[in-house]
Amino acid sequence: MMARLVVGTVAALMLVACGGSSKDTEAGAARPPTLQQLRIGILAPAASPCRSDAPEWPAAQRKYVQHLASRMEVPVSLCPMAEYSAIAAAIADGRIEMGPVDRAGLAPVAEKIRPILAVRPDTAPGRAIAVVVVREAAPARTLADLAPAAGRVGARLILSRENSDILDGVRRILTSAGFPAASLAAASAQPDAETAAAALRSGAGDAAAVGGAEWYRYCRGTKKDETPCAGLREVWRGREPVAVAWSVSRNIAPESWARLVGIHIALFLEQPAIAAWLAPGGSEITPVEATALEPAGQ
Amino acid sequence: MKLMGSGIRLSKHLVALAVLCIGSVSLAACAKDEPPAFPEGSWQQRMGKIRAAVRGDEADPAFAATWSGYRSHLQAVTGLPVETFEASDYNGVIQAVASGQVDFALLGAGGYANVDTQVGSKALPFLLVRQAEGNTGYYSALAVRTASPFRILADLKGKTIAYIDFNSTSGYIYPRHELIKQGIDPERFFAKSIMAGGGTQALLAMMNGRVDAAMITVSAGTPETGFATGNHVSLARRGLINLDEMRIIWTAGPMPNSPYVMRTDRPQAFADVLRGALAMLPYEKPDVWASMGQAPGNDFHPVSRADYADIMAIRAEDISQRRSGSGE
Repeated sequence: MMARLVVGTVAALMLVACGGSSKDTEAGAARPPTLQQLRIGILAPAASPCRSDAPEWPAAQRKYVQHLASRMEVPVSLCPMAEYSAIAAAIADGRIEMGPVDRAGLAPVAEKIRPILAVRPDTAPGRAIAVVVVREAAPARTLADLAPAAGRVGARLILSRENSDILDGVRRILTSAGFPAASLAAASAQPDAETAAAALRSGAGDAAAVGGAEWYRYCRGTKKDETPCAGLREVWRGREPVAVAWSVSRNIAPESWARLVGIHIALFLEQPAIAAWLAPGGSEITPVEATALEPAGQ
Repeated sequence: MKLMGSGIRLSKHLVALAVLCIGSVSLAACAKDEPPAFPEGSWQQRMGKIRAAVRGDEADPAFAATWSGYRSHLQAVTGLPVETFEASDYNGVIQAVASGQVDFALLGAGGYANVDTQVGSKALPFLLVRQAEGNTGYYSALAVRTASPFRILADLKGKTIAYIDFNSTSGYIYPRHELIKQGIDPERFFAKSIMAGGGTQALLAMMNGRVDAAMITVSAGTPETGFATGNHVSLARRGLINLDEMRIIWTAGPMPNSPYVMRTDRPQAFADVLRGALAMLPYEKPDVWASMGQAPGNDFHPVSRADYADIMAIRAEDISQRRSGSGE
């Protein structure tokens, strides 16, 4: 009896030992090499060679290099460049590994580099997410189909004012997508997502733009098998674009990418002086998606 | 995978034998899942695998299964196998972290306070989930049946209440602290209290008439706006209650959202990679993020021990009072 118990236990515990490692593990697959050095572009009045230290640097700048070198376990240097486009080109060419880039700088090399980190906007939601929906039968398929264009009046918009910070973010997103101020001013601001959806269904507008979380909670419903969003179709969702973001090569090893993100998002907690130098006026550094620099709807 | 369950009691010798067998047999069985050879001394080589603990969510039976998304993502980023252990109660995850059995876990704030009491800085919080509106906290709510005569807290004097768990921040530790601050001794105020084991169990106990009130967890809102998520919404969406049949008559909060807690006696590189890998998830894998029940716009926010100082103090005070017998 005891022997059977032991055998049974062993069998059961074998499942425990092996069960957690799913077969979709990357283990065994070829892994891209991690960064062996980290040359970071910084915006400066004039370009100059990469350096890992300089007596004239502010203390926080020197400490940033030391901190990164310690945590990344690779040599780190800073490479002054005069323009974001120069930084973007240097990342694309493999002359540096990371640096701040704006949309104009990214565009020519967007197939080679991408943003990974940015300063979080100083608003409660940070970068708001908007969801734009239309009636199922509406012809619009993209956000661009709804924006005003030459010879075409833009869609009549419905917004939700449930959360004023999110509403502000949604407005900025729509502005980025090409909706003029007059179009936003004329929008119907409903109390919440439910009333916005009702207004859309009733034909009071052509499209509703609502905060992503608010729309998610509305569509999820509060009863079993409820489908509050039936008959409405999502044409676009996305975050507010950022103006500048630290970017890297698209070929970066995921481990190095995660490590850079993990170190930088903790800077304001762990190294506030460094963070204040790196992100003046900011209070948090956050990850960003690959399209973070692109205007909404593109 | 279950962890820390009551399980089968074996003699020491049998356990030793079983462990020996498991060691040899499971190594062979798992060999095909071994990670690639990492450089000698690398953090992956030192870790061998990543182990995470999660408490099963009674509100969502598939909760632990949804961690498969995390697991795949972490495996892809780190190259290491990731094992997730599911505990059936609060204490299971707490002890797994405190003992070093796992490398990181999602704990309630009170659970982390418990771990801190046991091992101090050997385990630290590093991230919490921030809601899309920017809130980093949630609330306790005292729920009663709509058909009941209870309208305000005072109406519950001499009545019965279901808490969630001794280690539950929102379902026990924090609201009791707030009650005491308001001059109410919960032990004397309520005629009887039970530990339901979870927020949904507490709510169901109340809805079924076993108790008069239930302390539950709610979020995505404020007492003024109402709460769009929580135990009540989860149960309603499963068809187990109708929201019209209950009401909230008292709230306490906000208290900081549940922290992801990491053992600090692991390589620093692991800590940085893990923090980054989790933080990028809402941006890089929105489908995985959604599968975790996270609303669009929710993301991770870095935290430190200081963010939980209040909860740690409240828990310490509660334990002290219970040990000294005051308040009983």
